[in-house]
Amino acid sequence: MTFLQPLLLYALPLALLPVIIHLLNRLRHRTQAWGAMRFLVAASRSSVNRARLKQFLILLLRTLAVLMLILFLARPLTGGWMGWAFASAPDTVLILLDRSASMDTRLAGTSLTRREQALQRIQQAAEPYQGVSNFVLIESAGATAQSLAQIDQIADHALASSTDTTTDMPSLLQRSVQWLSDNQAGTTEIWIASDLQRSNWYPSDDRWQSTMQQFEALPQNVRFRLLAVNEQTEVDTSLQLADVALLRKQGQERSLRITADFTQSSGTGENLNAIRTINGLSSSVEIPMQGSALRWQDLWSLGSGNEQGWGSLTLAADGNLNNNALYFVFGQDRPNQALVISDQAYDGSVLALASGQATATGWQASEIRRPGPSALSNLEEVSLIIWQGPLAQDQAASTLQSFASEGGVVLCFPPSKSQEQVTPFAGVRWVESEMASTDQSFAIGRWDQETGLLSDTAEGFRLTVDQLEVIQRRRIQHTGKVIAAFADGEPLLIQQIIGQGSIYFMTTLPHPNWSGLDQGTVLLPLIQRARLQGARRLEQTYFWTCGDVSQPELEAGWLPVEEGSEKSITEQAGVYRQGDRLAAVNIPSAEFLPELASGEEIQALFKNVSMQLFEETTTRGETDLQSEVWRVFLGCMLAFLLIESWLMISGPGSTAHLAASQGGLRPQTRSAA
Amino acid sequence: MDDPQATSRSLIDPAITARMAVQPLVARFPMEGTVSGMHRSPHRGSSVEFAEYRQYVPGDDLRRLDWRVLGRTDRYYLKEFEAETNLRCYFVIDCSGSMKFSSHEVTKLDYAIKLIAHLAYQVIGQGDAAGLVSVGPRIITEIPPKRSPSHLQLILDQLQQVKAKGETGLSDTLHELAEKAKRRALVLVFSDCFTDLEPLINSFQHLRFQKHDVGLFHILDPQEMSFDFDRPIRFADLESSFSMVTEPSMVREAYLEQFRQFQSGLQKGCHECNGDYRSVMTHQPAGQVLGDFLVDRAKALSIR
Repeated sequence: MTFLQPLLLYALPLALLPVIIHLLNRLRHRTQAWGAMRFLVAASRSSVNRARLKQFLILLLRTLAVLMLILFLARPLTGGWMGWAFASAPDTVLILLDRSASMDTRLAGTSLTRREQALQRIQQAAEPYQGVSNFVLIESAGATAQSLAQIDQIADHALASSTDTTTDMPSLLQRSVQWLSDNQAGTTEIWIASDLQRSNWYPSDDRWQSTMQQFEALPQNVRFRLLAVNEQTEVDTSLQLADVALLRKQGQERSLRITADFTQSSGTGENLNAIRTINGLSSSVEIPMQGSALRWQDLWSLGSGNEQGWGSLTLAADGNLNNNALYFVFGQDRPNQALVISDQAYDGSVLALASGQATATGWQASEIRRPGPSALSNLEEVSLIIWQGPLAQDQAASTLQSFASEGGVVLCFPPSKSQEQVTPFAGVRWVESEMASTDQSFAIGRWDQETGLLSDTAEGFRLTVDQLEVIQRRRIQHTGKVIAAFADGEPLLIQQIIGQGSIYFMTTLPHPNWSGLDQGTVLLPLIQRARLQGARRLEQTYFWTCGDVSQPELEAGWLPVEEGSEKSITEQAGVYRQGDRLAAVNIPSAEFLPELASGEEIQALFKNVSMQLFEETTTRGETDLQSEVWRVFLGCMLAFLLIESWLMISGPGSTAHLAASQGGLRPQTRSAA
Repeated sequence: MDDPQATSRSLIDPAITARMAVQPLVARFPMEGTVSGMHRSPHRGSSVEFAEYRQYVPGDDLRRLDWRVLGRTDRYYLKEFEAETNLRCYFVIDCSGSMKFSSHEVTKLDYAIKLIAHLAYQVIGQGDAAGLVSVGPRIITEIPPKRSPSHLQLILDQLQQVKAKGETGLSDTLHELAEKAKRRALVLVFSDCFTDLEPLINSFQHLRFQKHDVGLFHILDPQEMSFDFDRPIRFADLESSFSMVTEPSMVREAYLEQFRQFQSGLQKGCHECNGDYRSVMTHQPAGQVLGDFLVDRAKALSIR
């Protein structure tokens, strides 16, 4: 409980006034000579207990009435947390607003989204503090703290609107503690409004511990109030882009293979109607939704042109409007080449052949370069770099990473000889090589057949990865995504996503002493696909996640492709154009993980820092954060006074009773005769 | 120094005596006096009031034989008449400390003295004998009943001198009086009766057993019956050194209940022994109280 006029609490001892008056009154007694003492003594014996109890009750009620009066005048605020009792209004209220896409899920049975509900609660709770406390907003999509002059208009504030971004709560708290360190904030309350989505809170992140230590070390008193808007929501179907591949076949039209994941919060079993848009032209698509999750793939013809373009797939409005669309872009075909850097003649030539292209004069192998300082020069038309040998170091490593981040693909093959590799490259380090037993080979256990370099063909044919014979492999330490793995779990192909592109690591070599890769049935489609994938570097098309666009790109000035749209690349998913470049911005994958963290789990994260959790689970329409409760105290005071009056006028010893029977006993003059 | 006779005379209010003169004080039961008077006697006498016929027995005075009956019936009958005698009246005044209490200008003792003075005046004035017994812890003074007018002065003088002090020995005194008074008498008690109820009732019964006519003036102060105090008060006992501080509002109801029980018990006790109970408040006009008393007794006698 807090008070708007806490100074009045110093008047609390006045509650003892009735007791003091009573005691003084007793001391002020006069002496009366009395004849009928025998009746007085008998009366005292018989009625003293009941009368004392009544006297005590009257005194108690008077004391409570004065107490209630003082508390009422102090204008108490409460939200149901007694731990906050007797705290005064803070100097600063820091509002941390989760503006992630999941916050725009509509609450069941209402027209409000979680974000709107949270803002409404904050607005109501902040009302009594207006003019007393300084309100500062730090929201998840932006980076700076914004002072709020009028807290009652927070719901209409531009920085409180809907976004397609995700929230990194530890980062948000770090920004808060940084702001508190940099500013003279005084006593501070931090109000967090969030849906407790686990992928936003990162409960196992190490930053929690350090951030909380920083909060504890702050000179001022900081308290947290967490408003969890984790109520039941309306049925929501989300749509996430899993993969998009531009397929080019010689002499045929270009086509686009879209892979999307549909997830429904509660499966209705009904087919979904989606709108497919390519370069602004829309058509309807029916999605055969079965159950609550579906991986859906479709092939869309792009015609015979060679222009760059964009598209989207959109679902009808449901519980959350933000996750109903995916966006993609595709580029213009440009000349692209592969570059092989290898110190092994045989391996290098096999790789160069596999990464070659058909020309009018026949099949033209890619260029082979020896490892060295100039190996990575002239990459203007290169979309794929095949690196065979010890992992790149220093300058070469940064060049390769930069190449990948621009959208290019780097495919690394292991060195043929064991060498001590100290510095990892892209989170990967080769370990020792391993030979299969005599007349035995390492069997391939699984590989991603749906997306990526080893996926099935557009016609549905499967690559014969399982028939690949591997007799020697190099073990690997990695942090990437396993595209293909041996039966014993060791990886065959690893993908490490770097910016717009990827760096792949193959754990065997296209050499007879290592594997049957050199036969080409797997290697050829793999490398050709990698080359086409890397062509995105030259296409000037980009896939970004909302909220994760680099600062230099943001400053370049990207505008939505749809005319009249007021979307901002920093906050909304969509397709954006900057000059000749196109970018598809989609919702971060973290927002598609519906799991919510429990209140207990979140409370544990705050350790010793004072935190009060308010879960919006049942009540609706009234604020649970805070409200003035002076009416309760006024009502209590009146009730106590009424009861006191009733006790005074009823029963023995009452003044009213005294007045009513002022004459006392009547003289009995009747003669006994 | 004041003239004692003048002071004694000041006890008598002519307006009250004038009001009382129209109705003599009568005894409700037969009295035994030494001379002829206006009160019924238990014996047959020579008054004009016919009583009964009685058969002659040897030894009866032949002068009282009804000759007309003998002539008509040839039987010996005596015609008897009521005897009338004078009244012996004892005024018993309680001089315990509690009689000193007053919530206004008149104490209970003053009020009792006033009543006794006028009644004594009335009694001696109508030729009856009046005596006075003042009671403290024991009998303080005792003036036997006499008829002479000079005896009234003695009683009045004695009334001037009584002081309220100490506890009351009323019950014992009445027992003693019941034994001491040989002949039937009217015993009028003036007291607040703040003593144990049972011995007091017993003493009344004793008096009645001895054929005395008992009357009780239960003299009370208005404040003793209303108990209208509103602040904590230290009550100091008038009969002892005991005192207690109490909140009147806390004990008032119980006090009044106790008082009510005592008063009704006293009244019931008087009624059971044919006593004449009369509750009197010190703020009531004495003339009216005495007038009512005399009239009520006369009515009771006529009914009887």
